[in-house]
Amino acid sequence: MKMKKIVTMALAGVMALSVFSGAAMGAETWPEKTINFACTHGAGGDTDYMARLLARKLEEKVGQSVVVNNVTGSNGAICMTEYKDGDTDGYTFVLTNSAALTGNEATGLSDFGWDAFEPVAIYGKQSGENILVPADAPYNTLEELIQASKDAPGEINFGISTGGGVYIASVIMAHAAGAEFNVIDAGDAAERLTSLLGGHVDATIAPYSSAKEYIESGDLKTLCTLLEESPDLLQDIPTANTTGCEELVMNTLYVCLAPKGTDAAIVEAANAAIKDIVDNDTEWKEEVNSFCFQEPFCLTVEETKTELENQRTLFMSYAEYLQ
Amino acid sequence: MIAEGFASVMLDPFVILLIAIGVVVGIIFGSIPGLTATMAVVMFLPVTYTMTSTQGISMLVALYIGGISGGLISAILLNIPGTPSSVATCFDGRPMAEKGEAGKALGTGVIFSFIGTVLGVLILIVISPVLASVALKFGPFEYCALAIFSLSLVITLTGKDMVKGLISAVLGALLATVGLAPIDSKPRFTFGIVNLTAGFKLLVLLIGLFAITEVVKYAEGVRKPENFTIEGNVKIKGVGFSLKEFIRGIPNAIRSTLIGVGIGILPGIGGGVSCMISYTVAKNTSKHPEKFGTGIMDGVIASETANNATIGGAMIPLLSLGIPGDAVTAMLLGGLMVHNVSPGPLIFQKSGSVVYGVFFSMLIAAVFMCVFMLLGMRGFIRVLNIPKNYLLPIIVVLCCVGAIGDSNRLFDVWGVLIFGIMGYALIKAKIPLSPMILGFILGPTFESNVRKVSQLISRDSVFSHPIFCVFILVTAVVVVISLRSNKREREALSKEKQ
Amino acid sequence: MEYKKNLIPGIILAAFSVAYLGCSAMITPFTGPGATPLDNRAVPWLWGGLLLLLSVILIVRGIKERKAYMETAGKKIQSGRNLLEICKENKEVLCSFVFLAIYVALMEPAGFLISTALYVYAETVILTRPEKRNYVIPIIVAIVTAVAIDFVFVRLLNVLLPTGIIGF
Repeated sequence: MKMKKIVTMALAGVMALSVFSGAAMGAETWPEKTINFACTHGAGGDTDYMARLLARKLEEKVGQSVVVNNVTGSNGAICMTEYKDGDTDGYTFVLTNSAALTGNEATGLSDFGWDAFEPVAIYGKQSGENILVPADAPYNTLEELIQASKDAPGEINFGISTGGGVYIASVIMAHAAGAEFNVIDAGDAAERLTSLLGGHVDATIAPYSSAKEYIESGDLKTLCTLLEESPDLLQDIPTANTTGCEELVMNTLYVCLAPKGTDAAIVEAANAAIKDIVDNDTEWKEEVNSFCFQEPFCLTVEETKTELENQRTLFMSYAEYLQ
Repeated sequence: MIAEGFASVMLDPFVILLIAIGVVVGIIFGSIPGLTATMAVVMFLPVTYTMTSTQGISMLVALYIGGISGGLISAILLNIPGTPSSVATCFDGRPMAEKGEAGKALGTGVIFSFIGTVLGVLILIVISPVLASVALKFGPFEYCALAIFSLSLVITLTGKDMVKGLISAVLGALLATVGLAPIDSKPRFTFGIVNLTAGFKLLVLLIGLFAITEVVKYAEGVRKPENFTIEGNVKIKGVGFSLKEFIRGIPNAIRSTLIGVGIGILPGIGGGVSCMISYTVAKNTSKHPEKFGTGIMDGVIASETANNATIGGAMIPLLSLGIPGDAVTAMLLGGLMVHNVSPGPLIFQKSGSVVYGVFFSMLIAAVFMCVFMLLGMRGFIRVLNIPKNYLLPIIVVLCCVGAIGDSNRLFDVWGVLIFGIMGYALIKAKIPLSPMILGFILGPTFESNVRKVSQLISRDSVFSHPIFCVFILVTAVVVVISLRSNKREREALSKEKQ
Repeated sequence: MEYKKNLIPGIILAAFSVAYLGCSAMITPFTGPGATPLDNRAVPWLWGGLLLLLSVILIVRGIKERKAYMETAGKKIQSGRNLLEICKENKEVLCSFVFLAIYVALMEPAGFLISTALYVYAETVILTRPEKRNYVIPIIVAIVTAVAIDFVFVRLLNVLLPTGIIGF
């Protein structure tokens, strides 16, 4: 009996301790301990880089350490599944990109969308996916490329990576503009570029930042960007929606999410902190200018939700061809 | 620009210090089973974000070189490959240690790792642009043929019992099909479990098959009197082997370097395969193939030269094309981009001094690696004196940490347990384990490329791909030769019995 | 008894490959753009089929060996030792696996530190020869190991190891 009593007391103590540590939290004093960032993509990629840049800046700003962990696999689906029901104490965030978040839902890789989280902020834009062809190719605009594919159906090999955002883009081109490419899987961005350079495919889509060197060296040329608007620092690249395929818009945005049920006041506080960094920090501006070719870009919580919903509506309208 | 690169490394003591730290940390991560070069780079990549480009990248390549080299220590002393790249080092390194030649095996491994690294880097410096264009020629057809060719080497690798060797390789390929299918990302064999969609990790398979089984094998013999321990008090003279033995190993080292660099250039294959291919080629071309596996220097030379040469090879497409060949170079790519060094055809014009700086850093890292490992050799051997009952549980814990750290999920530790049980069952059935690693790496390469071929075949003929045809021919020849030599080996064995 | 090394694995692997082939049949095929007859089921069919073929070869080999064995052993096949005895003989092996399983299962609720200390202790004891067993030194080793590894990986290297309900 005595043993049982001791156990009960010990348990009560542990519980009291955890309640105590939980009760002291609130939005006014946030943050007062280490913040955890779970990044959905591996070290070395752009999502990871942006997450770590934000972590470093946030650490400077709020005076608490911000730890980034990469929980990788299945284009971020593993991480998002694990963390959507994660700790709601306001110290756990998921850092990802919108193409993975909404794309995974559209392709059926995950069975939930952005609303399984409390969106905190969209804090940056990618340099944009570009449609690329060899520099000596006969077409100079997306329209010409699509026309060429209609003239010779199945003759133009178009390199994609099935299941990702690039794949969705190829589906949109086929259904909205009637393109008739021979769609070939050519792996991830670097592999797609290799395939294009090696002549294994005739056209492909890759982020501008990966293709930049080849565009400058004169091996490749870009036909258009898939962003809604040309990147701030690359105004001479036309957008796909004005040069041949109106429906083709893919904004890859860097997103910060909190697990569902996180206190709305903390979400606002976090958004305010992030927005202040993005809008006012000069180092942030330099970094995103050189890394993303974009000006700093940050949305409020409500704007973030609207933007994510827009992207979701677009992707989901093609879901039947994707799953 | 060369001078500038040279100066940026040599005249900055901080860079030299970072390289030294990188090499030491790399060796530690490489030598502890479960922790790999990849993990070392993952942990230090964020640290390098705030350094200058030369500093950061020098440190990362030092970690890479140290990590790949460190793997030989546990392969030889504990029979557990420290990284996937040293799987083939166990084949002869361990028997050498059992014969009391642990010092010689370590010395051989270190010296030839050094030679492999340096030759690999020199090839990288001299003919990187030429080789990069070779990598571009490799499309789906060529990769498909390469995968078939490499898998056919399993026949040689397994020696006497081909059926069991093939079972192991097929099992490996089959395990690799769990998760999202290549090409279309449809889940396969996931049974609705989210964690399974990411499939099994090579590291987890490696730990389960080699580390856990080693613990269990020891457990098996706990109460048996013949439970012998390897003599740890070996006297090592110099580097452990004679000049004559060194000279005899040179042709083998050169061939292994070429294999290592060749595999390294081709993205997605990596050191785990290059060491095994090099080992089987060394065995096939040797005058005494039957001695392989019994503790012969040539086996260690082939494996260790090739896996280190793969580093230089993997840097070629990374720098001149921006294509990472494996997990480590993928992170190096990130490290380069962060510092505004964009790999590609213009890298020498635009960031020449950084690139030459990296080359010098790699050479310095190779020298450090060699010196530290030779100095540490006498200490490493002491590991053999630590009672196994204390050492092995700690290794298991470190393996679990490595498995979790690989992608930060607990699920992978269950994989370690399951592969441990599977590995033990296979050992009991006398099915060799190493072909499984080959199957596991090459199965997905084969699948995704064979499916890409099926997308291309309507517009493309097999005969317009000379590399493909050559590989298939070579595969046929290799299969015939190894079948014959296996038969001879079997006959020799049965004669001995009589 | 050598035939058992072929016969039993052969049967298990054959059963496994049949199950694998069964699961392959249930994969949803991909029909989107770029789909070819060589779909996401083709290669699993290939591996499963190969494994089935190879395991059948093993079974045939096992049956042949069994025949030869029976002839030389004069048709007297000892009934195998019973399962309990085998388990008893290999209790260290069994314990090693069980301990590892418990370790992994405990890691989430109890946290890395505590489960590691327990595991290292238990495994060290089981790996020591019965006559040499010492119950004190392993305690020290276990605690030192657990604390040291936890410190290096969690505090210094920020690896996300489970902390458990108590928070270590």
